[in-house]
Amino acid sequence: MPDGLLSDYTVRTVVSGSAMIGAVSGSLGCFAYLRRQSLVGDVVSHASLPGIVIAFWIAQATVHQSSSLSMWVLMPGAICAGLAALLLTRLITQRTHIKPDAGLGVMLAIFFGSGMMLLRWLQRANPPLTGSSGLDDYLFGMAAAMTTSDLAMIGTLGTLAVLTMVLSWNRLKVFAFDAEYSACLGMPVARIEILLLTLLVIGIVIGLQVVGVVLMISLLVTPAAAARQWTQHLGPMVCLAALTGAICSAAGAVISALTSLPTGPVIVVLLTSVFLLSLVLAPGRGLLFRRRSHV
Amino acid sequence: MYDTWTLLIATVTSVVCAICGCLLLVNRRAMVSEGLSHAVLPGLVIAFIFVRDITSPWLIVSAAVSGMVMVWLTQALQKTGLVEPDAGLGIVFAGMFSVGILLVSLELENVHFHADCIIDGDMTMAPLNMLEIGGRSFGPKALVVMSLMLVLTLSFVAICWKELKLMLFDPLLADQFRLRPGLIQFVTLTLISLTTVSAFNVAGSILIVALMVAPPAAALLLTNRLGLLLVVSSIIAVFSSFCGTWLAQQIDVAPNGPMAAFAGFVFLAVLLFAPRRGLLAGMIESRRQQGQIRDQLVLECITGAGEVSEPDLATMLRWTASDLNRVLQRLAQGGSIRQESDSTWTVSERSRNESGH
Amino acid sequence: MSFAIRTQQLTVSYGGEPALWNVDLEIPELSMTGILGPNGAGKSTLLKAILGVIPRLSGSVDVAGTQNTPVAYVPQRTTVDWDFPTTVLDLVMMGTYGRLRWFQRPGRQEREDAMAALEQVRMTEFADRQIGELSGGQQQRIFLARAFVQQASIYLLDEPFAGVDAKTETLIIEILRQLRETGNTIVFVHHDLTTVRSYFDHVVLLNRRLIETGPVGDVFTEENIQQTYGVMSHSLLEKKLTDGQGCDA
Repeated sequence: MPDGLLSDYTVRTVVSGSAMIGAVSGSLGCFAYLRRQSLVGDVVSHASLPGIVIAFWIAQATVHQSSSLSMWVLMPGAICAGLAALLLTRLITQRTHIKPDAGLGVMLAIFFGSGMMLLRWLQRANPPLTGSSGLDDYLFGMAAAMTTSDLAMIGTLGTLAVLTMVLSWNRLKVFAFDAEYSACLGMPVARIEILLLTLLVIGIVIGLQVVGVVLMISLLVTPAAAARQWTQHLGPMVCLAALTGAICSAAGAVISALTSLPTGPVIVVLLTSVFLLSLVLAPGRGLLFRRRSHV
Repeated sequence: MYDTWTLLIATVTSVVCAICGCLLLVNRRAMVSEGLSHAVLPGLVIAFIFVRDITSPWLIVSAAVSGMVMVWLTQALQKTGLVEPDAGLGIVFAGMFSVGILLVSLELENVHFHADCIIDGDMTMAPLNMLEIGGRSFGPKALVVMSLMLVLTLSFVAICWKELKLMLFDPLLADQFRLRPGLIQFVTLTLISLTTVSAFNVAGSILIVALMVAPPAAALLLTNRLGLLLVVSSIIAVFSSFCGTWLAQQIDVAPNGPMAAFAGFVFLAVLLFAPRRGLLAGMIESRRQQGQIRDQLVLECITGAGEVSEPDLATMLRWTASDLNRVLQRLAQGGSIRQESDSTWTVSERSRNESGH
Repeated sequence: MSFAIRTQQLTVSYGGEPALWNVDLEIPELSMTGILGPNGAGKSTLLKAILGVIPRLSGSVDVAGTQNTPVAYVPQRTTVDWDFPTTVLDLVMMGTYGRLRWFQRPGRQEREDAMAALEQVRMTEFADRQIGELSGGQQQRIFLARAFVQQASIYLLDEPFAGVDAKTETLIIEILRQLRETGNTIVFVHHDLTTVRSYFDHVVLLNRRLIETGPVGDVFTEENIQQTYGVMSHSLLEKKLTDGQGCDA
C-alpha cells in the first residue's frame, strides 16, 4: 500500500513539498530561536492571515477566479502582512513603554482578529466566492490541497531564502550572536536585521499551507531546539534542524495521507517527540546524561 | 432579550479577561494567554472522551488542569537551561494543541467538535443554552459561568491585594515578608487558566488573547498604578464589547471578530494619542527635549568661547548652518544671547549675570 | 604628543536624557587610558560613540590612523548569550569578519590569525570548546583574542575585569601592557579605584560631563575623584553647587 501511495502523483507532490517546507523553516528557525525571538514566529504566522485573505479577494476581483487560491497569489500578501506586523511590533516596543511580550500579543490579536473577521465576512458573501472556503486550510493546514504550481512556488521561495542565508552566513551569524558587536565590525546592522526578518517571514509563510497559522511556530522553533541539543556549532545545528524539519514533515504528510488525520498536528507531534527525545538523550547535554553525572 | 443576553455575556467575559490580562502583562508574560488559549484543548477533549457530555463541569476542570500543565512544563523546560527561555512556551503549547486536535480527529469523528469553533468561538449561540434548575431559568449558562469567574477573580484580587502587588513587582521581597509569592502566583495562574477555559466556547482563542492583551496594554499607556490599571482596562474592555456587538449586528456576523478588532482599535488609538506615553506625545516630548539640549549646548559653547562666529560654531558642533541658525534665533529671542556683528554671537548681559551668581 | 582618539563637543542623548554632555578630550597615542566614573556616567556610551555605533547629537570623534578598522572593541562579558552554539575558535574568528566581503568565507589565513590570538591569551587548548563551558576569566580572554584578530591599533574594552578572578586580571593586564609596548593604544572602562595608579598612565574622569582628563599623576586627585563620584565633603559640595549650575538639567 505505501509503495502504491508514494507513486501517486498528488501524494508525491505533497510529501516533497512538505519536506522542502520543513527544511526551509527548520534552518531559518534556528536564527529566530537563537535570537530569542521564537514567539515572533507565532505572531508572524497569525499576522499573515489578513494578507492572505486580502490577496485572495483582490485576485477574485481582478484575475480570473480559478487562480485566486494559488500560492503565487497568496504568498506576496502573506509576506507583506507578516513583515508589517513585525515592523509595527518593533516600533511599538522601541518607542513606548509597551514591553516586547505585550507588543507581540497585541499585534497578534489585531492582525489575526481582523484577518478572521475579513475571512468570515468574505465567506458569507453573496453570491459566494468560489474557493473562499479553501482559505480555511490556512488555519490548520491542509497539505493535500497542494498543487504542482504551489510546489514550484515553495521551491522558488525556499531556495531563494536558504541560498541567501548560506551566502550571508558570516553576517547573520555575528548578528545573531551579538548585534552590537557586528555594528562595531562596521557591518550594516539595520540591513542585516531587515534581511533576517524577511528570510524568517518567508520561512514562515511558505509553511502555512501545510501546518496552518496556529501550529507554524512549532515547525519553526522545535527543530532548532531539538538540534541545539546535539551540537555546539551553528552550521551543524542549522543542517540538523533542516533535516529534522524535512523528515518529520515528510513523515507527517505520509501518515496523514494514510490515515486521513490532519497533517499539521501529525507533523507537530512528531517534531515535539523528536525534541523531547533530544532533550533527554543528547550526549553530554541531555537530561539522562545529567542525572548520571550527578550520581 | 436575546441580544441583551449576548451583550451581557460579551461584557462580563471581556471584563474577566481584561483583569486576568493585567496580571499577566504586569508579569511580562502576555504571550502566556496565547499559549493557554490553545493548551486547554487536550484537557477538554480528554474529559469529553470520558464523560461524553459537552456540558459536564469536568470538562472545565480538566481543561484548566491542562492549562496549568502547560505553564508548569514551560517553566520546567526553562529550568533545565537547555532551551532558550522564550522558545519553551511555543514548543509546549503547539505540541499540546496538536495532541488535542489529533484526539479530536481520532476519537470524536462523529461529534460536533469543529476545529473552527476553537478559534472563532460563537457568542451568538451562547444565550440559547439556558441554565435551568428545578424548572427555574437562571439565564444563559455562559453568563452564569462567566459571572462566577468575575466574582472569583475580583474577590481574589480584593482579598490578596497587597500580596498580589508585591508578588508582581518584587517576588523576592514578597518571599522575605512570607507573603507566599509562589502560592499567589499559582492561584493567579489557576484563575487565568479557569477563565480561559470558561471563556473558550463563547469567545474562542483569538478573542481571549485579544481581550487579555489589548485592553491592559492600552491601559498601561494611560496609567502605571495597578489599581487604576485594572479599572481602566475593564472600561476599555466594556467599551470594546459594546462596539463589537453593535458592529456585529450591523454586518451580521458573530460578535467575536468585531470585539477583537475593536479592542485592537482602542489600543491603536491609545497608542497614538495617549497623553504622556503615546507615540505622538513621545515624539513631541523628545523633540522638545532635544531642542532644550541643543539650546543649552549652544549657550554653553558661546559662554565658554566668549564670542564666537556662526561658521566656527557649526564646525565645532558638526551641525548644518541652518540647524544651528534655528537654535541661535531661538536663543536670541529668549534673550540669552545677542548678535555681536554679522555672524558673531555673544552671551547677553542678562544670562551673564545669571550665571555669575 | 599626538592623539589616538579625540572628541570635540561630543554630546549623546538617549531619548531626552543626555548621556554625554559636551565632552572634549584627547587620548594620547600609545597610552594606557582608564575611563572612570560612577554608574550611568556614560562610560560605555563614550566607547560606543568612539566606535561610531550610536548617533551623536553634536560634536565629532576623530580616530587617528588610516587602517580600515583601526578600533577593536571588547564588549562587557554579560551582554551576550554564552549558550550560543559556537566554539572558542569560531568566536575569535568573528573578529576577522569585518574585513571579509559579504559572501566571503574565513579561510586559512583567518584561522591562523585566530590561533595566534588564542596563543597570545594562552587559551590554545580550549579552541574547540563551546564558549559556555569556560569560566568568566576565560571568556574575557577569548573576547580579548577576538579583538586582537581585528588587527587594530586602538583597543577599547568595557569593564574587562568584571567578574574575573585576580589571577586572570593579572594575566590580562600583562597582555594589555605587552600590547601597548608593541605600538597600540589601550582604553578601558575600570571600576576598581585602588588599581588605577598602577594600571594607567592616563585617565578620563567622567560623569556625563568630562570632569578631568590627563596623566594619572596630575588628574587622579582626591578632589577630582570626589567630584566625579559625587561623594563630597561639605566644602566641595558648595563649590560644586556654584560651579556646576545647570549641568543637571
